[in-house]
Amino acid sequence: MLFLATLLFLFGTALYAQQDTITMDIAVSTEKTLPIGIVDFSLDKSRWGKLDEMPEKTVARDLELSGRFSTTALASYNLLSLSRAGAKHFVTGTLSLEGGQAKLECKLYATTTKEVVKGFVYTSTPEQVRTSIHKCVDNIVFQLWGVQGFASTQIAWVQKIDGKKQIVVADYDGFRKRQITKHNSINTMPSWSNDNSKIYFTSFRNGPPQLFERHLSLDQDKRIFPQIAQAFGASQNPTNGSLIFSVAPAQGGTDIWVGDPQTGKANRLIFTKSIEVSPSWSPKGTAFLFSSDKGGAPQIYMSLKDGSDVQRVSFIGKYNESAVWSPDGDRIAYCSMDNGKLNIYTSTIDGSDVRKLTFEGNNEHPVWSPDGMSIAFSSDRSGSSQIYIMRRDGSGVTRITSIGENTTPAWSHYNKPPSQSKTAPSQNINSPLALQYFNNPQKGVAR
Amino acid sequence: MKKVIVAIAAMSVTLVFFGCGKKKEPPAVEPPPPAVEEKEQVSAPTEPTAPKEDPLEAERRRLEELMNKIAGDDVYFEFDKFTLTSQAKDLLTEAGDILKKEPRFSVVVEGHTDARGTAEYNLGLGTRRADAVVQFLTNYGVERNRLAPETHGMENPKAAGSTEDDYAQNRRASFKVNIKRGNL
Repeated sequence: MLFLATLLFLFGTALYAQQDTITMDIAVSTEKTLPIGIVDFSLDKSRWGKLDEMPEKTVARDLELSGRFSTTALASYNLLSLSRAGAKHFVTGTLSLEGGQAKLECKLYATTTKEVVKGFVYTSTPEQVRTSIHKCVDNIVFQLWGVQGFASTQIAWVQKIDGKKQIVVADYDGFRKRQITKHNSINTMPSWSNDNSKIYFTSFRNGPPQLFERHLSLDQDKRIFPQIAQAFGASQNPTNGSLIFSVAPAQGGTDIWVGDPQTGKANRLIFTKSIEVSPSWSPKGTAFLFSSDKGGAPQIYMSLKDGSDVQRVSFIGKYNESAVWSPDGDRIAYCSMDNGKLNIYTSTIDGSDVRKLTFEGNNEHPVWSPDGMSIAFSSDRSGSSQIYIMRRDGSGVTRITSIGENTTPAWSHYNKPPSQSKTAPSQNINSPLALQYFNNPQKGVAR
Repeated sequence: MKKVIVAIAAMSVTLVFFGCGKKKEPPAVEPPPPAVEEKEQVSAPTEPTAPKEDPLEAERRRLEELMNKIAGDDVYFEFDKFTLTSQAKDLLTEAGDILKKEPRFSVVVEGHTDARGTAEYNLGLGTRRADAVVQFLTNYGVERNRLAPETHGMENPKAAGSTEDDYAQNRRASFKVNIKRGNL
């Protein structure tokens, strides 16, 4: 029996290894993905009729969207199926009601031994089960990869509601959406404060574009930098909290300004007669990217945080815009227009190694997931503009909105470090299970 | 009653404007004063908060329509360009003439783009288009402080479609006219 299991195990590994050699097909990820099984959770279906979906579905989507796993979903444990898929681990659990509270037990098992690698227990209101599931997946990602997953993050975006653009916020997977701005005007270009408590956005409620902030726990929009007649597109410096944004001055093209949202003080950083827009901080806030058409058409430039040492980044293509710096700092994502269509590209920060990630319709406004593994963007490929998430190599494109017109996503930051459960087996974070797996796939990590 | 008054007031303004270059219409301007007086007598007791009835408001609306007819409907731009065409300059000259004759009125100049490209860059382009119009009118002799440029980028299209014609309609500068009430 043990022999058979080992044989199947190796067979699965071989299949996985084969798949990993395919690199150039855009439909197949060039990223390493770890096969993992998901076995249906046990729960009393009569008592959980109100769930918007079964826990295993949420877990599977979270794991797929993390960009790090290829999932195999099973109704019940099946060694053969899991081994064939190369899944050395599987996730399952139970969901129960105890005194009106939902108790989610979520466990990561080793496939061959059915031994619990790590277990997590969450109690919440029945409405917050999704939150518990997302937390569980983040912990599984952490256990297997040694990095924090983004299943508990949120995405803000712009949705047309009654014909007006409004800011909405939802779980990163598009579920549990809620409307943030209500003013009957155009509200757009959301971005998150460093602590995720506020959304900065641009509104045309007074005529010209102006900057506002909105505490997510309050029901009131506050104008910021009221001394500036026209400003738009703010993003917060991850280190010192200052906002960088575009200003339409009294004369000439738009400029890049930086300001303190607390004191309201602001000053110019980049000011030419040309159009300068879309400033975006580096991960540590020491430099920023922006677009300028001083060469005749919009191209991406980089500057130190005081506006000095401006260098051109993009050289290929006639229209490069909306650049955002990856969390690791090694690459940028941006959109580029060719043949009248916008598509998303990435390149290194010196503009080399350009990779085109999208090919259908218009694809705009890329934003990185907090771990840099994925990119959210909006696309009109389906006929209407919707929000999508894909891996950083362009694979695994998943639509997260379906109703109305949805544009301009903004990914939240991490909320806090992953919880260190007391029951967790002490695992060396420097050598997460996924790395052991990739370094030595023949042996695997099953204990 | 109100409508009639507004219509009369509006007509008077129309006549003023149609009379701009000709100077043969002064008699037509005379009827309005009684209308204005009448309006004040009628409206003041019944509706103290009735700024809509302000003949200036009607005039403003009329002027805005005129501005839009002369300029707003036709200050169009080439794709990704903010240079004024000779046609645009002719129309802005007419708009400038109106503004020079009507010092009570100030104008918001809105710069718009078509739907192609990114929202942020289009706000930059809208800024440049509004700026081009403001610069022209300033050079023509309209005081700068009466002109407020606003960029709307691709956010307020005039034509909703995505044909070349729709795009051409949307690459424009449009006008909103305000009254400076303090100067009366």
